[in-house]
Amino acid sequence: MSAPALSLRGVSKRFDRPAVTGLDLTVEPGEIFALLGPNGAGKTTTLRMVAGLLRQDVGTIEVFGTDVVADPVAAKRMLAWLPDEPLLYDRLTPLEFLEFVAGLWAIPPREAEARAEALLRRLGLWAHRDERCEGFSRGMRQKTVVAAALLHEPRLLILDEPLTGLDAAASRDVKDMLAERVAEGAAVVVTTHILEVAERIADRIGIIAAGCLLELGTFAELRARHGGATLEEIFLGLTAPLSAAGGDA
Amino acid sequence: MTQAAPSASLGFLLRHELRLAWRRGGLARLGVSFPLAVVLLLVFLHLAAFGLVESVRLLRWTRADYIAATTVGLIYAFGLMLMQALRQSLDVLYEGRDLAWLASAPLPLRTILRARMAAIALSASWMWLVLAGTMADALAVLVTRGALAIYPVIAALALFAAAFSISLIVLLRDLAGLRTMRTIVMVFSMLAGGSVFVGSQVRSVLAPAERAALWRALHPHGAGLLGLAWWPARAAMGSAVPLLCFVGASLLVAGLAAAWVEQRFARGGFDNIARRVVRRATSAPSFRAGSWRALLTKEWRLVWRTPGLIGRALYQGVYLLPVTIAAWRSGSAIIAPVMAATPVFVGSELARLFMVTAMAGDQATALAASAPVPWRRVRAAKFLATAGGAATLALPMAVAIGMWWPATLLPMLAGMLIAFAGALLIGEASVIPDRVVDLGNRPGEMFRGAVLGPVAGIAWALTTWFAVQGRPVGFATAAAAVLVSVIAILR
Repeated sequence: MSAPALSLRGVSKRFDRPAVTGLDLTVEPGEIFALLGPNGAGKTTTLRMVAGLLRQDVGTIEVFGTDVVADPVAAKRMLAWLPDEPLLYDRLTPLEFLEFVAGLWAIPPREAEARAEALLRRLGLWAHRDERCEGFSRGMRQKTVVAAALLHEPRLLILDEPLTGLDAAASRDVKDMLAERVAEGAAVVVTTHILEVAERIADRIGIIAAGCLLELGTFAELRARHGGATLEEIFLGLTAPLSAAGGDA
Repeated sequence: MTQAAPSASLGFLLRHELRLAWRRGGLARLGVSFPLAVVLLLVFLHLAAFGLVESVRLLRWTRADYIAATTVGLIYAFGLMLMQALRQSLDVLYEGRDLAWLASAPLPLRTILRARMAAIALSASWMWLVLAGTMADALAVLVTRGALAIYPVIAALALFAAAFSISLIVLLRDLAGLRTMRTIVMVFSMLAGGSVFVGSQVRSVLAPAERAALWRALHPHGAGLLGLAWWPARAAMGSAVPLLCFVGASLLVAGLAAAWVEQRFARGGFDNIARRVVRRATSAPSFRAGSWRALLTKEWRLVWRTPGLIGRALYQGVYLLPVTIAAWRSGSAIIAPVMAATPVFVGSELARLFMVTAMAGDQATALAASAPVPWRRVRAAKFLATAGGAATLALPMAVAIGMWWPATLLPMLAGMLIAFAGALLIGEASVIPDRVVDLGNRPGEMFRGAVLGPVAGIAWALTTWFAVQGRPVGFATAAAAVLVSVIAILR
């Protein structure tokens, strides 16, 4: 039996207070998993631990069977992480930025160049490939980092609010590209505050609040367990009591 | 029906600006130790000021002497205030990007501009209010109570600097465009600061007779317009009419500048803020294999795209100009060590600038941290690119000096190696630990880099100096430092 794309077992992380507590989660290849939660729930911390940016205090995280702490380089080779704020260099052009990313993930040059061109064309950035990113709008910056995340054809995509700032067409393109990656066997873990998006694209949904996983399942399963016509109703029904009690912090 | 709240006042906006400036300075992080440090500093400065004024009293200075000395002090203060005000104006008008948002609030633009101008003036003058203020206190006790007028005079000078800076920036933006304006302002600001430093070295550059002539020329003389040149100093010494005129003129100029800038902004001044500035790469990137090459290429590009790079490099040279001139004039054997120390100091400062920018100013540290590349390699690439950039600018100077004085070549190269290693350590110390990205970096803060940098540059330049002079202490320090540097780079 092949290893899951992502496996978290008993993962906890504490800063000045607990950020994530005893998180157990498995994401299979070919699956889009939406991790939902109110502000400060621990979503970003979880994603950063998976991406190898933070080390968990307790528990294990594996990417396709590779422990991210024991062999971080091997784990990182398989994944792409897209942060909630687009991280790129203002004084580089999109093409230079993709060249840099291609080098980091050791993509063969010819392949990298072809993929970079295809991604930039598809996201409508090819005409801007030689312009420095310093003057880019939020949407253009987001497109650039999306292209960077997809450049090395990762097997696991960790996406924190990937559609922020994108226009309708670009948003559709990105969703299509994610679906293509998933069809090829990649797994996607995505956080979003736009619950309709999660409802539409996710195969399974996890809801966390105050660092704890509250619910896990397909949308149909969640609806069967909690009632409610929409994901928004289920989400608010689960998290509102915690937020009211201060769990939002 | 609810009543609309009154619009934000100038005082409200000023408080906001001051809070931003305070937090930018990072002093709030010092907590309760900050007031204690301020008290200790003020006590120390007052003791020093009383000692200085007492020693001047022994020289039996006349009022004209005091006016001449005050004139010199005010010129220095104004030059440095101008340098700071120019940079701050550029920041708050065009770099901060919050002006357009503030302007969407229901209050007159001139109120926002006045608040910004006052904040710039305060930011540029607080250091002088402390330094000159302690002197004023000592003069008031020991010489004349009128010296307390230094406080309003410093505030008025700062308002002049802020008004001039904001007006110049807006005028240049209109005439030459945003990018050219930015370059001109950076160079002008550096020249203003650099010329003050050069001026402060007059004593070591001029011959005694020339110094005496300059001192006489600084004493009040002439009538009419020429006589007005000493009004700021007279105002600072407490003369009522010059004081009222000087402070009144500063308020008038600041008000006129705010009104003029408001008009300019009303006629499309926000265009440049909203408009996308397109800067293209001169050559297309060539995709090549390997993370090492990718990291080096990226860092190298960023180093050479550092804003105001040439201006900053020249500025480092300005620091050393007076010392070099003094050494040339002396004609003694001191010239070789002075010349040898020059490229080391320049290289050290540039390496520090690049390294701090590459480490603390890295906009996407987390990206490299999420890549399948050990952090050690990222660090090494940053070091090589920044040291390479600094060496490219400083080495030609070192080679030229080495050809003239061959004995200086080895100490200069050793000095640069030490300086670059120091820059690496300072750069690492400047990285503020991030709670969301654990790079295993050592805790440190930006201002530590700002303090350590010049100190380290001077220390290593002195080591080179002593090594060139053949002093054992120079060789011993240099050898030990080279060893430590190599370890620091390779660890």
